[in-house]
Amino acid sequence: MDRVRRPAAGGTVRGILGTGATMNNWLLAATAVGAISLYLMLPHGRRRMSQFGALLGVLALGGGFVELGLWLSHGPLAAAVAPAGIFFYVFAAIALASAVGVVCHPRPIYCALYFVLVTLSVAALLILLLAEFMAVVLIVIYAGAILVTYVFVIMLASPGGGIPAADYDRVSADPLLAVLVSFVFLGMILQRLFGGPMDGFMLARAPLASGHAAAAGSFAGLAALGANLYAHYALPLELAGILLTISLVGAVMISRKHEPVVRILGAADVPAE
Amino acid sequence: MNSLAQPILLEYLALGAALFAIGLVGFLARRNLILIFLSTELMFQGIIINLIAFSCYYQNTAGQSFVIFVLSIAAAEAALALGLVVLLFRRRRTLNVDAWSDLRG
Amino acid sequence: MNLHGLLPEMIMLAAAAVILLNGLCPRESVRRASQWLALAGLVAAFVAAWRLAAPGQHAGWPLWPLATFGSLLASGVGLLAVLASWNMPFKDQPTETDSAYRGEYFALLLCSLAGLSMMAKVNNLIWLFLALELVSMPTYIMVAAGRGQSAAQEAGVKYFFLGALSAAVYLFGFSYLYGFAGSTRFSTIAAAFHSALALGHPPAIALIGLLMVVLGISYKIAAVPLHYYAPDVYQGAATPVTAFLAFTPKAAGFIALILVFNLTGWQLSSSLAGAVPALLMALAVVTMFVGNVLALLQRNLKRILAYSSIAHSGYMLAALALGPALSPEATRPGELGGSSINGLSALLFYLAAYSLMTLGAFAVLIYLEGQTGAAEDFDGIAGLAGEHPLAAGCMAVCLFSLIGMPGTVGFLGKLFIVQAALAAHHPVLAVIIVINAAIAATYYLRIVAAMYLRAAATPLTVRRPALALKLSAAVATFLVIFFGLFPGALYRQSVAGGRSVPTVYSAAHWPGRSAKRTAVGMPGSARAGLWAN
Repeated sequence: MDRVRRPAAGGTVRGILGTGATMNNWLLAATAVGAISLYLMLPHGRRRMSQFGALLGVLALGGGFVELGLWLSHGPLAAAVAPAGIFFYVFAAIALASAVGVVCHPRPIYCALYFVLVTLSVAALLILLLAEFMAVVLIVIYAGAILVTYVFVIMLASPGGGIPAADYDRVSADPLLAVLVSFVFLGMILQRLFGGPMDGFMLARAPLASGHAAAAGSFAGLAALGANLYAHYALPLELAGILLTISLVGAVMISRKHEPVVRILGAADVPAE
Repeated sequence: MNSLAQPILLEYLALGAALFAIGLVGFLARRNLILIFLSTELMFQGIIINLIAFSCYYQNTAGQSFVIFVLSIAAAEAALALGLVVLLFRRRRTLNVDAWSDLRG
Repeated sequence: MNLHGLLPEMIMLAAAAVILLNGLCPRESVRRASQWLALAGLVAAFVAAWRLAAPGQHAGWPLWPLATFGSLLASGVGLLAVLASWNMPFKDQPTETDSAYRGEYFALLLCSLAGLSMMAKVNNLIWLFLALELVSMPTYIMVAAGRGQSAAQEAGVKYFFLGALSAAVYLFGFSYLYGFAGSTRFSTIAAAFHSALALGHPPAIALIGLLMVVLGISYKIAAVPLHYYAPDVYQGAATPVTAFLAFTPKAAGFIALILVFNLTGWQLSSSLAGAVPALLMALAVVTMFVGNVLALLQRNLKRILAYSSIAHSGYMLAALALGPALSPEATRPGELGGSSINGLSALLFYLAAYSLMTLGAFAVLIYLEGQTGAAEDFDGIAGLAGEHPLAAGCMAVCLFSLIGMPGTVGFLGKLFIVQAALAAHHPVLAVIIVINAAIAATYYLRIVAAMYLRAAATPLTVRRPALALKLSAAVATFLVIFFGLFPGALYRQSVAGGRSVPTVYSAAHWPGRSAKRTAVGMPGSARAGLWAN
């Protein structure tokens, strides 16, 4: 079922190399500014720094996107790529901004709500990627089930329901190290993806979702997904069922109240000793 | 939609990696147990974007199938994690991860 | 492969389901049958795996010897693990004779073993992901559900949360591997690697994916960089659970790494791609030194064994980095010794050896906990030889094996890795392994000295431990000596498993692809080296 459309090898990629270099620097610069802004916005217990950080973050996001857009419209890909997808940029911006909110907000309940926003914008992006069913599933499972559980637990397990924010939420543990590790990682990936030896990286050429209309009937359809799932992944489906059972049993085991064995089992069966 | 929304694969990958990295920041920097786990969910969002973008790029459903399994495992892990968090909160009345650092060499 | 090939796993999972239901029975006498059911299930799975390991089974499945090795290892060592946890670990008080979680505990144990057993039978990234999770998720619960002390819960938090992080990291890698090949099927990914390598560099996306998978799985095998949870978790978890943790996730992680690198055809030797095996080698060396040097500083026995577990992961990573290539002067198949063993065979042998000796050592620790409450540090086991000579003897044999003394299975394990390193022209690696074995001897011998040379600080009170516990320690010790003197059966299985991994890409190795019988190798790929020079 995995119909692979191999990108044809060719020389156009080498053409990208020229603009790729400058593009790469700009994007890395945006990443660095984003890292600084995230560092400032992480809870330090001081308000002004985080406002400044937010400003920087907006700059980084905008700069990165403008650069991406310019690269796409002026680079060698311009012929292939129509005016860059405005929807992608809107939802990507919402997703990134609310992801930063998840990580930085001092009150857990707001973090959970920001996460709902991340989920919704990711779902919108999935629709752009022609995965409508996955978008719905994402909203139902993440926003509907998982996040509601999170909110319950936050209300249950925070002193005063998380308001006012606890001390450990107002000051983060090791912001500098965390930001360094993550953004060095991100920078390396971006650098490899956008600026590395492009002759090896063949994915960049084909514009996404071109000619999807022809394939839509068989590819994007829910029926194809279901058939594929049951034709090729029947055993993994069973395994997923086992895993869900295990987690159910485990969650009950872990979170059951600490009670003596006798009371759990019923008084009739007190061990003889 | 077709003319407006034609970003290329790389942008989606960059977004997925960025979400993953932000989640990693949260995992390493936050001290609230719930938020630490919420950060891993953020990382999973990045992975989901990667998978679906590739699925769209290759026009096959393998990536979408993968996402279904990722979602179910994420749900299973979240159930376990929240159960554990409830237990820990009952013990010490705090969600501070530093409260559980008695084991030392 | 048809369903018949999954018989051992199906037996284990069915047994787990029965035990789970049985554990709900209100009668204690019925619930006590849980252990027996687990034993019966594992014996049946072992027999099934043994029958499947017979030559000629599933000939169309090239990695079948590796798969059956995993099944035999899971069910065989799993038997010892069940015996070792006969005294239930999840007690509210140590004096209690029963736990409410008897059924759940053994069901989880069996599920985790089933995951390990099916690890080498997967042919798809999705399936690999689920098998890895099936191994780890029960262990999260087993660690965290140890009740009564907050140490277990601290261990549970650290283990579980880092585990979720590692799952995210290797999933990210999986997503890139899928993106590289356009399919989650191993055969397609291997073909994509092959054609990319034939053109020159594999694309960055594939290498990033590989690196992320290695980083994520380094958590499962307790190797640098995700090793630092191990001492805390090993110390905090109930000791039978610790014994289980030392073996199952590590074995599963190594088999998964073999499968993932098998996708590359072990041909990563160009400038950029060569970074991957080089990185593995570097991680191996760092892991060895970190484990052994930090173990010197410890006083808690479980922490020492945790650091030793990290160090042993280092040895096994070194064997993995040597890859499946046989040296050109490889001797005839089936011949013992010589240079007929490749890195992966050495890895599999070491995996089995390590499981046996570490399980034996932990079984003695469990036995002592039953006796005195806690034999956690050197004082707790001082003078053990006088009071419990058999327990001290078992412990000493297992520790000698962990050092690598001749006559034990640990010696052969190290010998094979060193041989493979020499055959692959890596004498420096061999020297580093020997140096590390010498460092390790210091802290293992310190434990032996405490048992034999010091007098007991406090008289050890005697409570009757379960016979099964003594049996597990005795059987593990016996096997350590037996396989040390007569390694034949274990050696044959691990050599078959290691050799079943192809050294060059050929479409015939991947069922489901058009089976062209031409083995297309890179020039010079027959030479041993860091995955072909």
